[in-house]
Amino acid sequence: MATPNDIIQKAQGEGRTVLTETESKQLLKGLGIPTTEMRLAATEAEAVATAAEIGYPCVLKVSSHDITHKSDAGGVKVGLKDAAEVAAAYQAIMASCRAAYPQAVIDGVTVQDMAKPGVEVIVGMATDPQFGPVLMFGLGGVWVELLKDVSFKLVPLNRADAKAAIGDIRAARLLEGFRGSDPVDKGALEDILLRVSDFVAATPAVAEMDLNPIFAYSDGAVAVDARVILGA
Amino acid sequence: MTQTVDQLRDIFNAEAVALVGASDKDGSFGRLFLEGMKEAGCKRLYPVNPKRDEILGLKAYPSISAVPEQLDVAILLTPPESVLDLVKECVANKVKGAVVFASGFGELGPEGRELQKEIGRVGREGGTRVIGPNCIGFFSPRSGVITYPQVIMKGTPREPGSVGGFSQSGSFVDYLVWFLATKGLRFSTVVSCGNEADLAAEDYLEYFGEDEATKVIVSYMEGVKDGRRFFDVARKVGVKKPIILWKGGMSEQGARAAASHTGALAGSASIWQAMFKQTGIVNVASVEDVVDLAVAFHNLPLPKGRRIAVIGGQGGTGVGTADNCYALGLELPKLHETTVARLREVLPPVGTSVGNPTDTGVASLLNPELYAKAIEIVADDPGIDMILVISTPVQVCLEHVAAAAKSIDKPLAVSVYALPESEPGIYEFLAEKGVAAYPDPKRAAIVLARMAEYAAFVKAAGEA
Repeated sequence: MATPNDIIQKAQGEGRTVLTETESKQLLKGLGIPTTEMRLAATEAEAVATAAEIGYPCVLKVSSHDITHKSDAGGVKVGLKDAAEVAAAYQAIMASCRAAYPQAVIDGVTVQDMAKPGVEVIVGMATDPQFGPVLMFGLGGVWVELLKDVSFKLVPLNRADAKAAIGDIRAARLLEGFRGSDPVDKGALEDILLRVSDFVAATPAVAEMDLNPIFAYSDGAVAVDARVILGA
Repeated sequence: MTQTVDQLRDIFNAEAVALVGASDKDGSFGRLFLEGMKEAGCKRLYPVNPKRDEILGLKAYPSISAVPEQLDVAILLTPPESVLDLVKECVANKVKGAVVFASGFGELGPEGRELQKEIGRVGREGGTRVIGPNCIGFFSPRSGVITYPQVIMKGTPREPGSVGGFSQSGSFVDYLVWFLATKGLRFSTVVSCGNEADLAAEDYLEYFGEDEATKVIVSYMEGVKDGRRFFDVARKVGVKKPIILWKGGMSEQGARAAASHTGALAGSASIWQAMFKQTGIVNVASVEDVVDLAVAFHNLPLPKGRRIAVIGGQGGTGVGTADNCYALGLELPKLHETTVARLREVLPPVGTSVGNPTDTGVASLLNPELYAKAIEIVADDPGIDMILVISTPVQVCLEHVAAAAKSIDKPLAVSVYALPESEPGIYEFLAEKGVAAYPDPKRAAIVLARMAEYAAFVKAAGEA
């Protein structure tokens, strides 16, 4: 399996600064961070066969270096329950992405298992011009942009920093179990923060990362989408 | 301990000091500093001025090279174009530190920046560490080195103390020393960073972390030269001694262009705030905050927790201050039953109220030792970590409060229900007695809350 450094070197060799979702998730796997299962399918038939292996419901997402905003291009279909829905989704994704991005090179689609819903959080990394790599934790998904309820820590983080990063957000109570829901597994989120911290401390090539959303559960957490940006 | 710390120790303990640009001309820095250092007891002071044989009774020398012993520090008051050659001369003569006052370097643009870099490089590589340029040097009471105009002109006390300071604004440290001295605080060393051609805030912070005389660090910063090193150093120092830092330039610029959500949200102010939290730096945003907190950390022990008791002679201010304490995240627990019983014994039954807050009532005006008794009783309560006293302005009462503050081992902050201008002398009296006193009980509550926050940081760091 390709190591995180192999993945980065391959992208750099191709003159790319943005890793694909597939590469980004492979990289996370290499760091020991749980992600959703995803495989590339180049044709409709491959998509249907892969979906049968991964299991239903599943998600199809367009795979293309040229399409960064997949949802906006109609390149994401979720909650697909059987082979017929997968086949139809494949056709719909190809049609709308070709219409939105006529010049794009499209490799096919990725077939992903659909993580069960959890509390959506984000773990991110950016490079500060004065202090170097920093990590961010916050409410994820659409809440990042809307509420900007996030906290920052300078790398390297220790366990206390990771705990504080999670405790510092305004909605920290949401993670304690709210209105009858179970508290989320904060240890799993701390582990993700610490693994990303160790990785970026040792890998200056990485400029920015978003693990967003991460679904946090009462037992574990899964990175559902990820984006890794390399320094120019 | 790093080489830089050793070098700074030599510089701040300088015995042989050259003042390049010394003068007897009225109104010149060359004269003011020469007089200031003579008076402050600088051990061996060498005026350097090629046009003079003698200045203010001291033999003058034509150059640094002409000084007959190895210098610890050369203070350069000369114009910017002379600085590079003088630093080279310092290197050739093994001078340990050069203090460069001249401005007209990095702040003027690319050419000045190059010259400034060169000055820093020549000094650092040659073993003459450079403070400045565009700075006002340092104040080291132990060595009698002083180049702070305000401090010299005001006759600010020169005995050594335990406050260390560094500032990227020269004028600010000059006034800060004066302000804090009037609050009874004294200094180990205070240094003006200037443009940081060589030595920078992170180096001074590291030095103050290692310096045994320094117990509290005050600072003003705008930017940082090596942020990673500053963070590493601050992490080590912050758990050992409080660092009070006023960071200027914290206003966020507009939205940032970035390829990720994280990049877009990681504004400079958020990152500085994160750094403060991780290092325990006590971040403040005004002169008043710097002074208030420096006084508190200097005079008081750290609280063990965040449980506060309020004692006052006015019901109203006591209750209002209790609200402020809550809003600051402090807890006002019920007093222990033993404490309550003991208070009832000493306080008259009429016009007083025992609890948290405790109101010593108008009776305390006539019976001023009531405050001291109440303070000592409440300090014995194992459920209380710190005390805020709102005292009458009666002199004898303040004397009792000051004595009680010293007799207990918990932090006690005092506010007097009188403004400094309505009752001249009372705050000066309390400052002399080493009492942390503030003209508004809210300010007293704020400093205690910040101390509790810092104490919790130190405790958590010790447990991690």
